Order: sequence, then structure tokens, then C-alpha cells
Amino acid sequence: MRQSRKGENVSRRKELDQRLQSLLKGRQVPVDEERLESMRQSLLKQVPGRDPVSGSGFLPRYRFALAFGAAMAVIGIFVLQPHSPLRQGDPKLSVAYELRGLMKDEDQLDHLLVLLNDFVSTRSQEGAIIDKEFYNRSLSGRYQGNDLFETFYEWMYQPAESENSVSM
Amino acid sequence: MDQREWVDRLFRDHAEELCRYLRSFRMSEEDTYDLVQDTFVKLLHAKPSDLRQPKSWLFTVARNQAINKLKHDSILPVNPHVEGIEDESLGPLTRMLEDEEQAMLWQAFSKLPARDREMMSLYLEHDFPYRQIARVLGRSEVSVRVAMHRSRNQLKKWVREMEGRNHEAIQKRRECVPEERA
Repeated sequence: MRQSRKGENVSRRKELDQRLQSLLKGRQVPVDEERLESMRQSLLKQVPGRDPVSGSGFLPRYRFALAFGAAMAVIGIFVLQPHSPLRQGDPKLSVAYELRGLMKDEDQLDHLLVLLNDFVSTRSQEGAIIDKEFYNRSLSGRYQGNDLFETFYEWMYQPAESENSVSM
Repeated sequence: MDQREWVDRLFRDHAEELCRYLRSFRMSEEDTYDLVQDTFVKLLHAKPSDLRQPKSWLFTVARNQAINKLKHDSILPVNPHVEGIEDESLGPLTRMLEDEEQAMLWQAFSKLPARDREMMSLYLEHDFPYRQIARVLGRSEVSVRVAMHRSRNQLKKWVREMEGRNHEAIQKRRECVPEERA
């Protein structure tokens, strides 16, 4: 019952709309077509050569290509990272690889320090020295991020003999 | 599609319709064409992000320009966004209509507030969906839907009343005729 009443209302509404639409569209408002044509011509002369929909400039124009490229790069990093030669073999290198990525973003310095702490605390006395060195340097602020990384790198690439000698 | 083709297509599709829309305000022929031209010139310099719905963009800009022009000429109500803009083409059409039912509907439509007429005109004459009408008129979509519903009901009510009055008038005339003969 309700549905039929609703259906009736809809059809009445449609009927009213159709009648009114034919009246409104039937209004004879004269338009000077010649004038519009000359307006169109003059307008087209003013059109600059850019594509309006995709926008001006390099970034808006190639935004889809850039987005696709960025997406592929991200996918590539995640897919290829486990198979990277850096990740195989020396555990130091794998940590270094992660750190290198982290250090690109200075905001993640704290995270880096936590990571380093975990890494060096599992090591020998030398690890403790390195740990202290990192924290001392980090006190001077985030701008020392690269410096910290260099220190870590130096430690990591020092000759194996010295590492062995310390651990012994 | 380059910008030239794009502007050309938009002009061919909407310039005439825009003229009709602007002419339905209290706008002289000269001003109407000036505003259409100004609107399309603005289109050339618009931000691409604004042009996802170019038709409603054109109508919005043209309407705002018309309001500014009419305000400048001091022939607008205090707040045209609320009260709407008077449609001048209502009178002549009423005279042209021969069909009684259509004439009654048109008469009822003429009685609607200007803002509701403009809204119905955008929906029925210029084929805008509710969302774009809301954008052109600077209202919310819900308020447009509600106002359309109320306007339809009002129109039906007025048409019924007019039909009732006509019916009574015909009855009276029929009753009077035998008396006159007698």
C-alpha cells in the first residue's frame, strides 16, 4: 500500500517535472548566433597553449607518470630489498643498509639510536664504547645525524683483527 | 585534447544556454553577451582543479557576475543569494500559452519565490543535478532537495486551487445560462 502510494507520488512528480520542463525549455529567449560566433573566434585567439585539464607546469602535466614511477620505486624497494646483496652475509652490512635508509630522514634519528643500541648492546665491550659515543654525539642535536652515521660506519668497517682483539 | 579544442567545445555546448540563463534575469542583451564573454575569459585563467565540473563552474561565475552587475545598477533585492533574481521572461510566455492546464502551471510557477524558480529552472531547464545546483546557488545539496520538494508541493497545491476555481466558475456560468433564457 505504502509502495503504491509512493510510486504514485513519484509518477505525479515526474509528470509535473515533465510538464514544467517542456514549458521552461519552450521559452523563446532569442540568442544572437552571429554575435556568439564572433565571440567564440575572439576567445579562441586568447587561448594559451596549455592543457587546462591536466594543468600547467611539469608536475601537473606528468603527474600520472610521476605517480606511477614513484609507486614502482616503492614496490621495487620492498620487493627487492630482501634479495639485496647487502642483506646477505655480514649482519653488520644488513644493519648498515637499514640505517642508511633511516638516515635519509632526520626525524627518524631516535629510531636509529634505538636500533643501534639494540645492535651494539649485543656486542662486546667495543659495542658499549660505540654505544656511548653515539649517545654523546646525539646530545648535540639532530643535525649530527650524518656524523653519527659516519661514526657507526667507521666502526663497522674497521679491520676484523681489531674487533677480534677487543672481543678477546 | 588541447585547451583550444576544450574551450571551443565548452563554448559550443554552453554559451547559448548561458545566454538564456542570463537573459532570464533583468539583464539587457548587451550586458548578457558581455557577461558570457567575461565568463569564458575567466575560464581561460581558472585553476584546473576548479574545472572538474565546467558547466556548473560557468553558471556559477556567470551568476555571480550578473549579481554584481545588477547590484551595481541597484536593481537587485537586498540579498539576491537568498531572495533570488527576478525572471523577466515569465510574463510573455503566460500570454503565449493556449493550453489552459499549462497556463495554470505557468501561473503557479510564476508565483514561486524567485530563488525557487531559479532552482527549478536549473534542474529542469538546464539539466543540472542537485549537487551542482547547490554549488551554483551556494547552498547545500540537502537544502536544494528540500526546497525542490516543497516547491513541487506548492505548485501542485496552487494548480489544484486554480482548477477548483475554474470549475466553480464554469458551474456558475452553466447555472446562469438557463436563468437568462428563462
